[in-house]
Amino acid sequence: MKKENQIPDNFENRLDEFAPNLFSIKNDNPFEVPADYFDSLPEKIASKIIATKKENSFAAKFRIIFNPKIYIPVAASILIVVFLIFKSTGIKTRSDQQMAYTANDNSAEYQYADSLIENGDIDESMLLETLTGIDDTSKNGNGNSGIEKNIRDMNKSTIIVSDSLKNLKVTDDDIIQYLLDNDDNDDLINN
Amino acid sequence: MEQFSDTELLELFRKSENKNYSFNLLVRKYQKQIYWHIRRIVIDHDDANDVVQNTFIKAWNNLEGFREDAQFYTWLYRIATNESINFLKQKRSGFIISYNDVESQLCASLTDDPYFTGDEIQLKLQKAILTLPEKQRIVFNMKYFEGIKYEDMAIILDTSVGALKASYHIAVKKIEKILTD
Repeated sequence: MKKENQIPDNFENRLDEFAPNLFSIKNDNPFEVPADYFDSLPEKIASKIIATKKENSFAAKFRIIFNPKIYIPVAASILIVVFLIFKSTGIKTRSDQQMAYTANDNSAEYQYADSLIENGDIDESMLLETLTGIDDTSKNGNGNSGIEKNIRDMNKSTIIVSDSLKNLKVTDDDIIQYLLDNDDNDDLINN
Repeated sequence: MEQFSDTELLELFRKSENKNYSFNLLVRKYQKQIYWHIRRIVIDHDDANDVVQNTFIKAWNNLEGFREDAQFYTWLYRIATNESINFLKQKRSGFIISYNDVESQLCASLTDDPYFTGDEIQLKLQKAILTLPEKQRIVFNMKYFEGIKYEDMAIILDTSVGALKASYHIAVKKIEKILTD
């Protein structure tokens, strides 16, 4: 290392030797402050502390509520919970409801239909023939199809059909299947 | 006014009913020292006024957690130095053209500053100091004008004593060269 780069011992107190021009300038303070500045400074600081405290308490509450790190996960959690509730309670669409109706054997309407069949108010065999489109002109000799005969016969009956049954959207396959499932009826066998 | 030691003032501060009173005493004890330290860094009085207030507000907010591992005044000086450096950084970020524009601006402001009452040679010295890198400038001010010990400076600036001695030595040489020219 070169000698000139070495720091002389105690050079801070030997500036007259190492920096005579700097040494000749007295290190007086060339700066000033407004009159009474230091008298009023403590009060200014105290006021600012009070103002900052009030600001911080409001800002802290605001920051907590609107901190993206908090509200984004919270919002996402709420959406997930709502979605899960929606899924699990099985809120059905109209078609879902209709399907639920058709698949539910315990509905009041089906029970009523059962009772009509049991009481003989509805002829299962006629219903089945009607729905399956059986054309049996030989039966009545009038040239009327068996279907028309069956419909006429059905119209003569004193079946009271509830409004809900009238509006019931039951497919033909459903009825056929129902009848087939309940084929222990003696009337069906006899006919 | 009765002079309390830092330990006594801090004990007083920790009793919650005396917080404001004790802090007021701390401010009165250190306000001039801290203000001039800041003023020599930021030069302008209005800027120094802002920074000194921010320094004491920061001290108030953090005084509960002050563990007295170091002396109170070195802790306060550290806050003041960091606040001054941050202030200049913010000022620097506003300049698009040149990194050194802040120092040039500070130099220019000295000439018209109503609160600068130094003579021509004092002005020359201040402008020479402003040519130093920021940290070197702070080291020079703390040693030359404030007479702070290297050991305390090491705590305030988080730099080794050896590095500080070297920094001051280089600063003195640079300034001497400018004053000689």
